[in-house]
Amino acid sequence: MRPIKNSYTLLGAGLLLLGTALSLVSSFILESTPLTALGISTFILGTICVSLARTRPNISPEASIILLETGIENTAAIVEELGLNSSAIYIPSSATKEGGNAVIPINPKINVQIRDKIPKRLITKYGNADDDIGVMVSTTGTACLRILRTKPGSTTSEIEAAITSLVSGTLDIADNARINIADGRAVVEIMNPRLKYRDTKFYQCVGSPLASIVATLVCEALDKPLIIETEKWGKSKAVIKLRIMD
Amino acid sequence: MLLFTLTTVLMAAYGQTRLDLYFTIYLIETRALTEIYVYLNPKARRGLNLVTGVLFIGFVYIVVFEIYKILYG
Repeated sequence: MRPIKNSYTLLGAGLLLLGTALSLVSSFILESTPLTALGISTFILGTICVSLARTRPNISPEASIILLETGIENTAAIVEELGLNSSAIYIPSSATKEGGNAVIPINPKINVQIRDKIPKRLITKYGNADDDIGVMVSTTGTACLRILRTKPGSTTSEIEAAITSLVSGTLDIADNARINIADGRAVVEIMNPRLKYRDTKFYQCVGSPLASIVATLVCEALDKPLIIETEKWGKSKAVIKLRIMD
Repeated sequence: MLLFTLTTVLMAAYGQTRLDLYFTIYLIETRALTEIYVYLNPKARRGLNLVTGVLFIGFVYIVVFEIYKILYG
């Protein structure tokens, strides 16, 4: 028999056993209804623990951090080596084969007309002008889009629900999110973010992992390219401003 | 755990001796707590929905038993 390693399962099994024993003893020997009820409640807690045990991640948070930081460092090395310093443009999946990609323009421009179909290559042409060439990178948002089963809706409430569901429920990296979209800009507030912001060139270019996830979701929901304008990180809130492009 | 224990203590303090009432209150609390954590991981939600489903079957049994007692004495 395989030893039980999951602590939730062990706890659940213990509570199930204790609850059963307490219920039976209280019901037939002690003849006490409150103690029998306590046994039943312990049994219910045991079943909840056992059912939640299956949801524990297969790899530890430390292993996840190692994988995340390795990926970020590799991309950061490319960005620094090429001397890129413009803000990445997040592209919706309708323009590339896979959503969540961002293009870092080699020549920064203010107004850019994004092409309908952008080839998915490292060095790619993203606009109609001859010098609209950039480096296409996958972001943390790319992986997060695969977790979402359906494309988020385009209304503010649907986008807010999708972001909250992802960052609070699935990833558990923040408490919740609020979004306000007006005048071609989206302002997203993330409450109690648990990922830290680092003031590095890469984060200024592509955005922090949290901003990248938010930008990817908003981009996909609105089906429009966008840029992360600013990120402001406070003690309990991160405010991410996105500029939506046509 | 705290909620269940508190409920049991309060109902015992009020001298409640009906086991089905305890069970019904536990079911309501389990369901309410599950619904509060709406943004749970989908696997967790499925697991908790299964537990609530099983408890609901117990509740249905209690209701059917009470109806039987009323109808047939």
